[in-house]
Amino acid sequence: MSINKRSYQLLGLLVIVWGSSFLLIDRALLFFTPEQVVGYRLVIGAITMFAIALYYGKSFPRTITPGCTLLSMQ
Amino acid sequence: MIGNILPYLLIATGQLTITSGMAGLLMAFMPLVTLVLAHIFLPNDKLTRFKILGFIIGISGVLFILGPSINNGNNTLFGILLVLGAACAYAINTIIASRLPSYDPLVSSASVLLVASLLSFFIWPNIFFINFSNIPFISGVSILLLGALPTGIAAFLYFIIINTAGATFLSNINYLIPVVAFFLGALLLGEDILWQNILALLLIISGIFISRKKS
Repeated sequence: MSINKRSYQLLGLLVIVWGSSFLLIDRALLFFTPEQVVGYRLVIGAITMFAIALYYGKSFPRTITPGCTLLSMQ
Repeated sequence: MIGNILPYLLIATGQLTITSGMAGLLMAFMPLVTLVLAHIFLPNDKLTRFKILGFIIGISGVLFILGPSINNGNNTLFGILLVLGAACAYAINTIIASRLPSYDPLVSSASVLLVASLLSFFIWPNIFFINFSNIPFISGVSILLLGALPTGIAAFLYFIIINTAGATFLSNINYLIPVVAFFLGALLLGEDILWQNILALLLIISGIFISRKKS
C-alpha cells in the first residue's frame, strides 16, 4: 500500500463525484418523487457497475451462498 | 438496504425541504456516529479521550445547525433530521461492512446495487411507469449522472482507494465531501452561504480531526 500522486487524484475524483450527489438530487427532485430518485439511481448504478465488472472480465457467483446473500442485503 | 435504499430515501425526502449544501454538510455527522457505534460493537475500536473530545466538538456543530434561527427559512427541522438519519444509516452500514466477509469489490458492489434495485421495484412497483417525454432536461441529466457517478462509479473508486492507499487515507473524504457539497450548492444553485453554516462545518470537521488523533 502506498500513497502517491495517483491516490490523491483518485481521492479528488471520488470527493467531487460524491459531493455532487446532493446537487444532482436537488435538480432531480424538480421532476421526480424521492421514491423515483431512489429507484432510478439504483437501477442506473447497477447497470453502470455491471458494465464495469464485465469490462474487467469479472465472473459472478452462479450459486447463492449465505455469505453473498448477507453481503447483498447490507 | 441500510447502505443504500434507506439512506437514499431519507436524503431525497429530506432534500425536498432543505438545500443541497445543507444536506452535504449534515453528512459530516456520519464519522461521529461511527465512533460511538464502533465503541459499542467492535472489540478493538474503543473510545479514547481524543475520540470523546472530538465527538463533543462535532456534535456541538450539529446542534448548532439544528438551532432554528440559522436556517434562514430555506431548511426545515424535519428535513434536517431525515438527513441526519441517513448519516446514521451510513454509519451503521460501515460497522456491518467491517464484520462481513470480504469479496471482490466490483462484484459485490454490482450485486448490492442489483439486489437493491429489485427490492425498490417490489417496494414501489409504480415508480418505473412514467412518461419519459415529460422529464425536464436538467432532471433527466441529473438522475442519469446520479445513478452512474455517485451511485455506481463512486463505489468502484472507493474500493480502489481502500486497496491501494488504505482505509485511513480514504477516510479523508469525510472532511472533504461536506465542504465540496456545500460550496457546489452555493456556486451552481445560488444557495445562501451563512457564516453560521461555515462555523458549524468547521466545528464538525475539527471534531472528526481531533477524534482521529492517537492518544
